[in-house]
Amino acid sequence: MTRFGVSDDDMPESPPPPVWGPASFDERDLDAVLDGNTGDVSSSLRPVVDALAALNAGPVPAELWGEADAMAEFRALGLGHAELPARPAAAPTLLLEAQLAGQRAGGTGRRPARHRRRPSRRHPVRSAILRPAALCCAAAAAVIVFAVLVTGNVTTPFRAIAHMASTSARTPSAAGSTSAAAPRVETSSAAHEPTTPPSVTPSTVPAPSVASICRAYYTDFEHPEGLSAWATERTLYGELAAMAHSDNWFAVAAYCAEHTPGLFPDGAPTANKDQSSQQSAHPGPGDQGNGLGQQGAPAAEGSKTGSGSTTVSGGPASGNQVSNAQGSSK
Amino acid sequence: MVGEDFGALLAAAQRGSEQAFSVLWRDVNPALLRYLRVVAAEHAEDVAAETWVQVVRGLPRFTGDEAAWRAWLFTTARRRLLDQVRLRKRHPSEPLDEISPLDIPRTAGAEQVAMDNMATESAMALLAKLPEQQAEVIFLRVVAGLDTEAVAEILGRTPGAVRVAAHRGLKKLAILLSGAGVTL
Repeated sequence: MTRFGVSDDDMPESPPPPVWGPASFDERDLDAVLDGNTGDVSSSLRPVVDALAALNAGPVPAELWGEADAMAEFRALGLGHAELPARPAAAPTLLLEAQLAGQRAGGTGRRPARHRRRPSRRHPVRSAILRPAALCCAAAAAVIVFAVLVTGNVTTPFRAIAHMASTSARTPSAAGSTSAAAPRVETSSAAHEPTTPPSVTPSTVPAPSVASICRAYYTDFEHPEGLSAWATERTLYGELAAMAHSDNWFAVAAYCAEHTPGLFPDGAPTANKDQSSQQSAHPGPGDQGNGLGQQGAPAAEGSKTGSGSTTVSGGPASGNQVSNAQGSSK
Repeated sequence: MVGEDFGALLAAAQRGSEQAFSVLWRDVNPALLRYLRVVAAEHAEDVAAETWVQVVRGLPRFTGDEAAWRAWLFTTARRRLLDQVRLRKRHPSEPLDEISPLDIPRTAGAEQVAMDNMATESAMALLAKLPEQQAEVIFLRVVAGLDTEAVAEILGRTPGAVRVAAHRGLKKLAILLSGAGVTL
């Protein structure tokens, strides 16, 4: 019992709360808290440490709202441009950077050196088309050079190429006519007119030469294979015309028929009265496509002039007459 | 605190790198706002914005380490705050209609964010119960990360006075926490 008449069990002695007693930390503990060294602080300072740690917690979204304004000010003062450490996608162009660098360099207006990669000006699709074409041309050129080296003849490979071109461009004509609508390699006979008349000196030994020339000429005439064949034909025809002393195609044919037995099994081609004096000296290459190969005899079709065309309705071998379809041939 | 990369970030920001400036801004601005809310809750946002304008203008000429950077920034903030207080005294004004809490934009996890930051708000409220000088010293020492000399220079007091104020503030904070049974 106490002197107040109260049982000791009813008045237990309990320690006073911390706020009432002396501080359980000293100046060093406080300096450690201020410096952030909270490892060994007193337990009585632990709530203070926790409160200060809460003050240093990470930012809340509201505390980052002003970034746009600060960045706008940063840009407005001419400082802002994305440069380091990693360039974002919406970065300003190199030109702007160069200008800013020039301004910061002292405003002298001297631009720093720029090294820009120029974009390719070639169109990708166009390049994709031109590249295979260039390769094909190079391959064709290599084939031609190889053929020339092997054969030693310049005209052979070109004849081969011309043959491919003429066979692909020529349209077979069932009637043997050379209508204007039919596709041809060359349609204007005016371009095929010889600029200079052939001047071939008559051979002193005409018999064997005439036969060979006539055969060569009419063989080539039957199987025209492009411009080179046509040039050969013209040369041969010039020689024959000189030998026959006539530039008339029928006269030349008659001359060849006379000196080359068997050249015309069905007889030499002849012309009617109107045509005999007007027939072309030599048909152009564009008019040869439907010649003897289809009619069995040299077809004197020729559009000597640009305006008119002479149509051969039937080869001499078949007995058909050569008629002037439009009557404007020379 | 940025740490070792501060020098490179500062140099990049001075050359005009927005990313570097953003890193510096995000590192300091939350502490700056919390400091201003404790010492001048009404003008915290305005003063922070004016502070950054001043800092951006002087950024190309600034030299120093991270402690000097923070000291410069908080010194600027405190000067802007004093200017703002003087201006409000000369030209008192009433605020316009207060923004309703319903008008404040809310994110999807606003409630969770509020719960997560309740400790921070509670600590700031607790610190605001201290005398202004003591609260400011503790904030500059702990949140801004400045040493005693820098705080003394900012406040225009001696380092010894700053140290005493900080100690008194911490003791009072401990008494408040233990007596009120505040748990953070």
